[in-house]
Amino acid sequence: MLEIKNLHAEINGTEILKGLDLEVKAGEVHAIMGPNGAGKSTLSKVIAGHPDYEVTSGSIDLEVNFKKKDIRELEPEERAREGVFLAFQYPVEVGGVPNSEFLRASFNSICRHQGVDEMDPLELDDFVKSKVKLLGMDPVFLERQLNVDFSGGEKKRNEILQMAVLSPRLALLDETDSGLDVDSLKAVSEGVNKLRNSYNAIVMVTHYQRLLDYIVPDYVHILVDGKIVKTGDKNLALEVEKNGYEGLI
Amino acid sequence: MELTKAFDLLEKFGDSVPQGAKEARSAAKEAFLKSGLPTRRHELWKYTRLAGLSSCDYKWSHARGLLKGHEAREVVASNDIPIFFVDGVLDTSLTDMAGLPEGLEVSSLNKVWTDSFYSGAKSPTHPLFHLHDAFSYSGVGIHVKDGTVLKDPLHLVFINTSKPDAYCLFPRVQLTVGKRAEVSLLETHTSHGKAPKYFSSCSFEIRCEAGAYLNHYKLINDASAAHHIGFCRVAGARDSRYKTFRMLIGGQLARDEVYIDLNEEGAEARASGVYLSGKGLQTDQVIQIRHHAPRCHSHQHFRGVLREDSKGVFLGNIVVDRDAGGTVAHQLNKNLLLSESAEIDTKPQLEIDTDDVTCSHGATIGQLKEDEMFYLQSRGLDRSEAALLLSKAFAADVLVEVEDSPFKRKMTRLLESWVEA
Repeated sequence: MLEIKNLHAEINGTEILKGLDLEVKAGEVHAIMGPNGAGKSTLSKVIAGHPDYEVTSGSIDLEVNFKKKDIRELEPEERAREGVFLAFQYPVEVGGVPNSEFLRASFNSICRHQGVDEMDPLELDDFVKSKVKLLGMDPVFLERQLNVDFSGGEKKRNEILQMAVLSPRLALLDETDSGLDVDSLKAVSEGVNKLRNSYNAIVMVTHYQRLLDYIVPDYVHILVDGKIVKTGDKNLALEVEKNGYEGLI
Repeated sequence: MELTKAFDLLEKFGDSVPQGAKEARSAAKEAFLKSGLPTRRHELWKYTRLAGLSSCDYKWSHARGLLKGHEAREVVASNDIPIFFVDGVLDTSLTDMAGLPEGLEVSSLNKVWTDSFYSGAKSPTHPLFHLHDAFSYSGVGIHVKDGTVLKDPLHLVFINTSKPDAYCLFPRVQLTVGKRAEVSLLETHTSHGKAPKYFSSCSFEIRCEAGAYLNHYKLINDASAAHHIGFCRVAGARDSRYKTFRMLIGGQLARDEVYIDLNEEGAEARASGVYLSGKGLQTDQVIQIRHHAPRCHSHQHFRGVLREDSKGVFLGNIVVDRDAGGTVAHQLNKNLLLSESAEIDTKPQLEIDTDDVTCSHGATIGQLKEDEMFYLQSRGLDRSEAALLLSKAFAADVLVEVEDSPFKRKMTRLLESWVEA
């Protein structure tokens, strides 16, 4: 699904990722943990194609229809159309754009790229509503302006709704647990779990082990100073919780 | 401005008005000839050059061109009460003057034209007001009688046709909304035929009497070679409410000047609008609201989207007299520039002569935000799709203030097609 080799990336001339390797297969859930400033958010932004970051060396290959595709030079929307989805740590508020219209525009642009006919508006409406229901959300959400005046929890749930509608191959969840109370965290995690299947993969970036109680990962990676220094299963996260990152470096 | 052709025709055909009007008109002509067109030294014209106007010799349009009924009716919705002007002249063949609802009186301006109509006016004047007065010839006086509540909107439609020569037109509307009367007024300026070239100077004088409510929409969608300079002067009496939305979308120069005087206690004015300008074009929005009496409220919210090498001007002013304690007045202007060569000059102003006020004003000029662009791109929209969605949303944000109606839907469609063009 995703194969990253010796990835170096910088922002404004400062190197953040310093030779990172990561391999993610379909059906897997990976968690990336690490101290502040280790490069966790950078990693998800670099994969999604954020224009502020520059890849200076290494490779990012995405498996599309059983073929490896180098996505380093693709625009963010091209990556999205190939099935990369980034759930933002801070979802952007866009005034004047209704949530439903945004989902429609986004869904249709991906359909067009994948050579599928755009969905009939009423059919799409039903489809989106079924996802709203699946995630236990209030349909009023769809009529509101995109993320405007949403609470922290609502914004994160809205990200997961977008993920549900777009059904990406690879979902990158950037600190999806930050700023959430226990109930919201539970709701968001349940949503993600419902979207897990054997065809997609999820990479979660998080500070805290508690998210992993709800979304149980197959692999946990410790990212320190731009490199993955240790990989293990969910127990590695418990170890971090107990001893901190110091003991692992 | 070469008005030789226009003045010749005025001499020839301008006699058929009452004596009082004739005198006022000739005084206005003298005043205009003395001052000439406004220059950039005039505060209201600092950012607007009238080069396009002055280089053309316009002929005065004192007679209307031909327009078929179905062509005119395309512009109006089925429940509108339409009044048609063709080339600036009231078209009595298209307008059903007899079939008007009860409480509404419409008469040709010849009968009502008096220079004292707008007695509530304390607004400033400038040379183009004089020019308009000099040529004022055709128009309507509209009276909504006390207590009348009109269910359907009154729609004043100004359609300008294509003629061999460039022409100028000076339609005038005088509207009185009687005590406790309620009415919606739609005003559309548009063109018909191949590349018409004209200068439209349209004047609205409106009196809202005590407790009256007027909801006024103006749409300037003129031909791309046209100049539109419109004036709207409004006097608000005690507890009256004047609500207006202005959409400026077409014309070489689309300039809309609104002057509102809140003359008596409790009067309220809400003015909002959007101006959109593209390649080689300019839009100007001038709005002045003057609080002359205590406890009046006013609100201004205007947005502009400018692309390519277009230009926009926003001159907003709130004036609060010494006697106008308890005033609440807010003003907001936001602009989105879609290209580096687009230009906006915005000047939000406050002139306050009393301490007992709640006022705010502000203006912003911005470009599309990169974090919003990336967010939309990360969901599969390319940059042009994202820019389209964001600029549409930016402009539409001010349309939220307009109640749903066929006219609002029309404006929304125009906005969308402008953005998508």
